[in-house]
Amino acid sequence: MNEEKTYVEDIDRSFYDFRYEEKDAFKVDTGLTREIVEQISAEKNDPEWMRDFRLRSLEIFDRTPMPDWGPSIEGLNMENIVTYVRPKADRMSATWDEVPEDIKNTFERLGIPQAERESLAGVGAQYDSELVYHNVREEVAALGVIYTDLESALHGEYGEMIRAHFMKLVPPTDHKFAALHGAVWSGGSFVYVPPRVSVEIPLQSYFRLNAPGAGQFEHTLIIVDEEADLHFIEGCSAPKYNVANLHAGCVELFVGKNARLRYSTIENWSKNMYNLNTKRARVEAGGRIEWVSGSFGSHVSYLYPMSVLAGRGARSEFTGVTFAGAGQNLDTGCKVIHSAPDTSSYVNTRSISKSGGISTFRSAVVVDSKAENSKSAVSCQSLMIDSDSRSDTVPAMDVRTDKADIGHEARIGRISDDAVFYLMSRGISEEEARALIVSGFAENVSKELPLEYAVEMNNLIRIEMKGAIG
Amino acid sequence: MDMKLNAPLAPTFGWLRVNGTRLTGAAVSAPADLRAEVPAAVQRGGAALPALRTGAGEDAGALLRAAAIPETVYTLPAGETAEDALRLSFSFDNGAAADVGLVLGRGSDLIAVMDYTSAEAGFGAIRTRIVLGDGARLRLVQIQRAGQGFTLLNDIGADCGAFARLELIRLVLGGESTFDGCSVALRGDKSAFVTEIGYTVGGDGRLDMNYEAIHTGKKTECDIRAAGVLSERAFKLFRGTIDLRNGCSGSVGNEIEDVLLMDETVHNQTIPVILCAEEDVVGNHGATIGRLDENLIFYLESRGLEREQIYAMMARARIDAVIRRIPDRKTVEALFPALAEGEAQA
Repeated sequence: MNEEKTYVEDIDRSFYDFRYEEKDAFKVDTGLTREIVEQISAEKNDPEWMRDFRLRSLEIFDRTPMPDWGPSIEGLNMENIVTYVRPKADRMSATWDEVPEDIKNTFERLGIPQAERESLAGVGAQYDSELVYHNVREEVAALGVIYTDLESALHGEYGEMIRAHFMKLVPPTDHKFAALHGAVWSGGSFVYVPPRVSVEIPLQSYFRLNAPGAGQFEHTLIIVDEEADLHFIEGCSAPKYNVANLHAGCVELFVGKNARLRYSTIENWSKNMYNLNTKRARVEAGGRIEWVSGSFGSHVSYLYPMSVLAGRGARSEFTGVTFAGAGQNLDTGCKVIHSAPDTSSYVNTRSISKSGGISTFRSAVVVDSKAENSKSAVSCQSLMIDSDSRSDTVPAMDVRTDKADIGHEARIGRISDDAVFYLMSRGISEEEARALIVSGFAENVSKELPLEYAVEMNNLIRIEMKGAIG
Repeated sequence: MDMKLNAPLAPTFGWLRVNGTRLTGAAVSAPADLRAEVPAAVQRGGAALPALRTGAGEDAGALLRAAAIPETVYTLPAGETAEDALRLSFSFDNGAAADVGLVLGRGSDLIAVMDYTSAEAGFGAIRTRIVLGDGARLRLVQIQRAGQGFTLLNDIGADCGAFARLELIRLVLGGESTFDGCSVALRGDKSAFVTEIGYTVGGDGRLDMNYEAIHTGKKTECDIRAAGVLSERAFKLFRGTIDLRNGCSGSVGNEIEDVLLMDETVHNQTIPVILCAEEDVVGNHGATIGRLDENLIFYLESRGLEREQIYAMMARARIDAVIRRIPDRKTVEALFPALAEGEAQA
């Protein structure tokens, strides 16, 4: 037991909270102007349509109001945000040896190369605004699977495919930060899985934001063709600074007929981060999207992955856990749009609030008039660790057909004193007992993750629960 | 007057268009006709009503103030139990309004029935402000049978002292558009708010509701139950918020809605919200939206009933279940024949 406690204490937040000077990096000026957008576009050697797209998005950003319904983002001042930071790596590498030493060390400390060797089919690593490493196993590439950085793909043989899909699911008009993303996006991955190809082990992208006061705007575009199967894992972290950082990435997922895509995220941004990320999937007939989401970091989060069930029999599952500690206001949940017959969705979330943290589960299930015989079940549970914290549940259901069955249930409560007493009577300290109960409470997510990620998630919970007593 | 009504305590995604409803061009100018049966223990008049948060919001109060609609206050003194129900029957012509106060002293007990009928078309508004002293109990029934082209704004604000209990039965059986707001402050320790809402909306009818239970006292309880039926092109929006504020330790909030959808052109929105800033509380909410269970239909069809008959029967059963909970026999006895007559005419 003592050894175990030492282990937990060893991996405190400094595991993620280390940083390197970005002395050799190039960055644009703070703020957001047409000149900055043009500068980023030139840096990227954008095709003309992309340059125009960026400028149109900037116009939309300028005229779109801030959201007026979620956590306060008054502390986020775009005038202070650097929207593009190029690390000193002069190009993306396919071997870790070619990655600059400090950047490589960053990812080594985060365990990415080790995970790649042991359990991944391919890895992309983004540092600030650029991908610094991308590789996919030969046997996976041999199946015709494309896993590369989005910018290279834009200029290559998949350029037209990307043009046909880029920000079609999340148009810049969607909301202010979608427009921002359209204007300044940089980095991110492109995945294409051909029909009937099943990728047996996951691909992973890891996003690290090192520069203080910077934004990260990576774009992930995944197309899983008919009857194909993929598990994609996304991880993210950043060192903590005393200035606001911004993450406004965008994830667009296209799931073909009878295809399956699992998209897993362990989000552990530093607690000065405004995480205003947008994720959306379109699922064709018989297809299936599975979201697995763990939200632990960020100062403020707005994060609601959306599933558009566009084809008959399409299915969506969302499994999520959110842990809000001191100084955090995490507004998370999901959206599901049923727009075809016989579609189904299942949402199962847990949220935990402690030490003044605010956790909000927010959802929308929309069943339109075409979605006959559709079914949806939403279950959310929240745990309050103390009375300094806050936990809100704000679900919405919008049903426009009589031929649907929609169910929703939610519960907010506290840790059972009886359960704590029972565990303590077995020789476990109160702190350990509470951490154990919280880990069990979040099991809905951990059991859906690959083992290594489930272990990381449970460690995060135990770190957060340290000092929860008294 | 342009009003924003039924804005919830916690707004959500703007594109859902549920963060309050705009009502434009509404105006009132005269008091609604009132026929009152007042039990002996109840006094007309009383102290000025306090400013209370209501479910529909400040614009509803402003509407009444602009037309100088007088307050009609009924007071039950401390320790009194009214022998009979207070029955208030309002008839709304276009532009009619009422502003009612129900003030119950410490330990008093009252049944109040408010029945709304109206002209065939037009707009009317009524606000009911409720002040319950410590240990008081009010069983309030509000029945709406407005005309098929009528728009009614019904707004409630209540404040409950320690051990006070508000039991509200709300029936929406008519009207083209109804805006229904209700905000209850569970300020006193061990105060309680229990409500049963039954509605049936058909044709092009709209029902827009905002119910709130704000828990600040310790060991307070709320139970919000809504059950209804939507048919044809009806639209219904139910917002229900349980707000468990810091300091309300030991409190419990429950909320459930069950909606039966009868036609493919109906539109239902349900927003059941729990806000929680206290550790030692329990909040639950649930919602079931859809059609009847196929096994149930199969069983009843095997007993010789047509599918349409089954739906009509189950729809009526939901309303009847709420009516049976009305604590005033005279009202119940009047309501069942009226419903049967309405169905026969339909």
